[in-house]
Amino acid sequence: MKSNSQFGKLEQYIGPGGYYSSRDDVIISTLLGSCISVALYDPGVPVGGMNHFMLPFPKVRDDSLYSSTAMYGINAMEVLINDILKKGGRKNCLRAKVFGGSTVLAFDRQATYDIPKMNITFIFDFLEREHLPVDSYSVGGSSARKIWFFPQTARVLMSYSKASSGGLARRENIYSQKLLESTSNAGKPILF
Amino acid sequence: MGASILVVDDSVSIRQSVRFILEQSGYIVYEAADGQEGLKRLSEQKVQLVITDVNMPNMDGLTMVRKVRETDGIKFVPILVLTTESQGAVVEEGKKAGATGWIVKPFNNEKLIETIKKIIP
Repeated sequence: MKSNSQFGKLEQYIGPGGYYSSRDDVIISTLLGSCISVALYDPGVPVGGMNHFMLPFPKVRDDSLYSSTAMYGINAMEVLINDILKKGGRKNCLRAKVFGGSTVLAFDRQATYDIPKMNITFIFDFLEREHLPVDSYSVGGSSARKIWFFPQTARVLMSYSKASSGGLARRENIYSQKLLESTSNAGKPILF
Repeated sequence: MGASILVVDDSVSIRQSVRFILEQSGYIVYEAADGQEGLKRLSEQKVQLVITDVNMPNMDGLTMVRKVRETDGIKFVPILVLTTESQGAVVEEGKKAGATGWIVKPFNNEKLIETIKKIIP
């Protein structure tokens, strides 16, 4: 955690695949390209958290919520939800703000799969299925987004970032590759 | 006819995904949203396997496993835990509670089916 002198609070930055939640008066921040971040909070406690994820590029096109790529998104949401519940949040009181899914990826894959659109479709489908109300969102477009989330008040500040889209795209591409590579090791079963 | 499996998870998305994978392999699937509902389902419906999450409201998965192991008529049903929890202490707690196996999410579809076939050939 670093100190944010502008707001006089501690700030936790999360990168691709990360998540963080807190009951404290802190800031959770991230920089998003085609990835999605969900700020999730129970205002009654108050407690909140945010994640940063994307669905890996699928080997075959499959837009369903049942695809193995969608499982990564479901998992990213579940670990965040569980972390908030462990800090006193109540599942039926959780509310969401959704950000990201911009088109910053300039790779060949972009032509075959609309990754940002896939990420956006996934997250709204997921939140609807889980009955998690969405208070606000900013998705799509072609600019990176910088997000600051204040979990105690559920306030979010967002600015479009001039961050190098090439650098951001490379980082997201590496993250996606890692996700796919982890498929073979995922869920190694243990029988007692 | 395929074996019957009860899927216990508070996430609708997880239940639907697991149902989809199991039904593709010919299993008959029942669902419950937490441990309490899982126990109720088990008292009404005979199943060959239970797949359960750990962190759930009302009654968590490991409490449900302990209660199943204490209940005549269902105490021997195999229970596979499917969870984001991967810490050794929690896995050990699951073993002590009487779980049959443990899979950490996100899981691989083929490995899930392989594991089920090892438990209920």
